[in-house]
Amino acid sequence: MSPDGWILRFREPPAVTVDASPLLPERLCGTGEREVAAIPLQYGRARVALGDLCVLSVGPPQTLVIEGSNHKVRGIGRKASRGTLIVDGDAGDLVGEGLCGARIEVRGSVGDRLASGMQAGVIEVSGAAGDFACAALPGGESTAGGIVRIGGRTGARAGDRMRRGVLVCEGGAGALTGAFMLGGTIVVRGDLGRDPGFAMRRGSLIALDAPTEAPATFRDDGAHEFLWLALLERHLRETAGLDLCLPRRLRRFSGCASVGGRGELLFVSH
Amino acid sequence: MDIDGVEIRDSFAEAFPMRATRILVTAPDRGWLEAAARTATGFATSVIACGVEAGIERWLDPADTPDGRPGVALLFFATSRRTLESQLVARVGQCILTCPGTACYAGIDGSERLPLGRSLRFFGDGHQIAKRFGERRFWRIPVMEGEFLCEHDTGLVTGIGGGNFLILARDFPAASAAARRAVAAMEGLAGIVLPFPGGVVRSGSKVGSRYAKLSASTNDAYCPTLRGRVEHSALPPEVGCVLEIVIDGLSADAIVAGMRAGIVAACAGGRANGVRAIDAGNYGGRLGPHHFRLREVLAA
Repeated sequence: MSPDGWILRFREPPAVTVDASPLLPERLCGTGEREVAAIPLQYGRARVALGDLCVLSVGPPQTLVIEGSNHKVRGIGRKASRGTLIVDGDAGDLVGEGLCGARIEVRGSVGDRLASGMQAGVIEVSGAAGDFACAALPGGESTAGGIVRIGGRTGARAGDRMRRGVLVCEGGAGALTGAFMLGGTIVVRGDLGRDPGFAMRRGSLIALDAPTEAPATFRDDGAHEFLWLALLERHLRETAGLDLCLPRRLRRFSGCASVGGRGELLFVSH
Repeated sequence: MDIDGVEIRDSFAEAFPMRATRILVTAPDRGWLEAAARTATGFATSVIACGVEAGIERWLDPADTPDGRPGVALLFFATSRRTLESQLVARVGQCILTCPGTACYAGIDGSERLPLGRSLRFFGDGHQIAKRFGERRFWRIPVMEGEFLCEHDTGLVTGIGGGNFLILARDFPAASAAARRAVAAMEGLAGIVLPFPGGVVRSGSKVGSRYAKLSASTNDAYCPTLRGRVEHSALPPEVGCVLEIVIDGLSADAIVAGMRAGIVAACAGGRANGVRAIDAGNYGGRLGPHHFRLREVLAA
């Protein structure tokens, strides 16, 4: 009988880029060792069997664990639709690209374009994330659902062209967070880089610790109570197990006026 | 069959399929919550003239509501989807949207949906904001007090209207006390509402009238003042007052549970409390597909 879960341990940290996108819980869980070991992966310019790169052992049910990875391993969990994927170590670009239902947990940091075009599911990164988290790929689909939590620092342009879903940045976020946003919600704890919400049309960018002034293209609506934040808290708790305590009273700035947008920056009211 | 000397007549309540829904309303405090709930379910006693039958199902603790505030579950019943939809939008729009501090959420699942915020969002005149969390969509509609938060839609299900029983008592004080005991026992039971004033109706009706324009008229067989005048009176000489409790429910089981709790409470104290018999309203079994036989309800 084929194991319902696998642990894949890299024999040594990859020295060249590895395309890990074929490693999906729904594909590997329930599949026999011989078939799993034979899955071909792009390793630099070569095609290498998974069994030559990783040691395989039986893992928890409906779970795929990747151990010993580093920033060269990219595309982890691409379009994964069910099960759980745990990365014990760092990961490269495009983690959870187009994710449509699975849960990804990265115990380390990730590269650029985390959760690009994500549709549903949950991604938790304990470390930092590169640029363009939850952003649309150039010419590709916007992030349209799901929950992403980044425990460390988030790079620039997080939520670029994001349409739906929730991004929580616990360790601050870089410049142009929420630029060109079309909808969805971004919560940033820690410092927020320059020009948040640049050219945003809709959506909400909540900054819990930082700036006291909004960009000139946003209009001050004053401080108000926002009941919908209770729904956001509940959604994060029930769907992703995230306990986020949000103040109900926030100062709202509407914009971005440069595009006639109706988005909002919500800053802590002092 | 009797309960402490109170006769349980071999009769049945005749009930009908209805279209039903549940919404949850929350507010910052019980005062505004009660104002919204009573207003939204007001003038909703009978589909004969109100279009919809509605009531308060139960009060909700903050832990049981979507936004962690005090809440209330309201049930609405109508004879068609179209009527229910128009009544729901009108009542939420005029009675809950208007009430300070309130928010409105779906209270029941169902593949068929009835609009809430889907219709009411236009009150925001373009300033409304949609928020989607998982599969649920909410509207933030700006109002003078802040924002009215309203879920996009709620579920539509098939319920049952017209479960009932009649309390035949010596006089008004005895009937009133018995009815109040019954209502108290039924309040808060899941899946039912008692749409009439205080949960009780004194003007039970029969189908038809000698006046052509009326579809219903007084249930003369149970009017004590007509005992000598109508040949088919159902009241013995010792009965001087009859009160009816009408129950709308989301399922037959919910109605049975409600009828049983209400009848047992109404009969508490037996004949000494002035209650003489429990009966039920029906139309001979020809109109409604749901028949709740009193003795089977009590035996269940």
